[in-house]
Amino acid sequence: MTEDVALISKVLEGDMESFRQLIKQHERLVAHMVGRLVKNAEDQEEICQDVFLKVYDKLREFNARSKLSTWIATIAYRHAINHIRKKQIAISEYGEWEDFKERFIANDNLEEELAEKDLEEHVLFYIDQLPVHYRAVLTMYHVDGMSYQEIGKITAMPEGTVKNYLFRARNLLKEKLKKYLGTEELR
Amino acid sequence: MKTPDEKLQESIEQGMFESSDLDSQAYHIVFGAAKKEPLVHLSPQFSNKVINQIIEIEEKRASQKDFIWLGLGVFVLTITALVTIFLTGFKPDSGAFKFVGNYGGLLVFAALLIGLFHWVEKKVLPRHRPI
Repeated sequence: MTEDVALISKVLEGDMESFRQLIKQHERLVAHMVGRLVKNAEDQEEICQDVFLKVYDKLREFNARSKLSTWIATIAYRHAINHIRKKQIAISEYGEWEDFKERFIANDNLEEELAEKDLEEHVLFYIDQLPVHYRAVLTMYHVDGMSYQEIGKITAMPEGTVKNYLFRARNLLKEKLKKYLGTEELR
Repeated sequence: MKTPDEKLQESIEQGMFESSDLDSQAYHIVFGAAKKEPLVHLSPQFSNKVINQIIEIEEKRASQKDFIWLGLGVFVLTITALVTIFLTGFKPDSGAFKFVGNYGGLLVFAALLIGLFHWVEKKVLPRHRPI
């Protein structure tokens, strides 16, 4: 935390090398978030750039009550969600959980494209089909190793919701994979 | 009361993966894949691009500020001149004003020259070298 504060002070004094260091330290975190939520590869780098421009612009408002990485991840998350909203992609209209689960598992679209890939690649493909919030929670928890509390702060969701989304996301992926493994065994 | 799936997820998370049933196997693969980083290709010059953009934005902001102060200065000067003329009843038809009035072309040239210098300073001379 003190390292964060020292780095921010230097950036606020106009030291661009320190800001470059800040970018290097957090670009993977931002790329994870944006990469998981925004599917269009052309938009991804642009959104990552916008995130860091915003970070630079708002750095004076960072109050050091949370980790710098949590604060930057919050900006990245909101930016990605806003981008998705602008593109008018549905974010949270899943309907009832059981109905949604059934639909998700039954959807066989593009399954053929995956025929030659290994099982983890299948799962990665299924992750891309998950609802946005499930993808976000899954990535922050498993890829970035964040706690439920941190994820809650970033997404403005209660911890219970974070846990629930994480459970559901993994459950959907398991069911989808199980279905695939079942059909493979029958072949 | 926890569901079997909740218990299974918890045990795999705690590294207690022993069962060989299909659910456990599938979860094991899911947990492994979930840890993989999403594929995003940021260009190698990513940080430079961001910093160059910041410099550009800062320059635009500084330039806007310059114009605001310039405009404010001209406005205040004009108001002051008008008030002074009104209060003193001053008429620019004597002394130095009469002299300058004979060289109108020179005044226009001076104004254009100042404008040109300003344009060169803003558009031609680089303020920074791109990184």
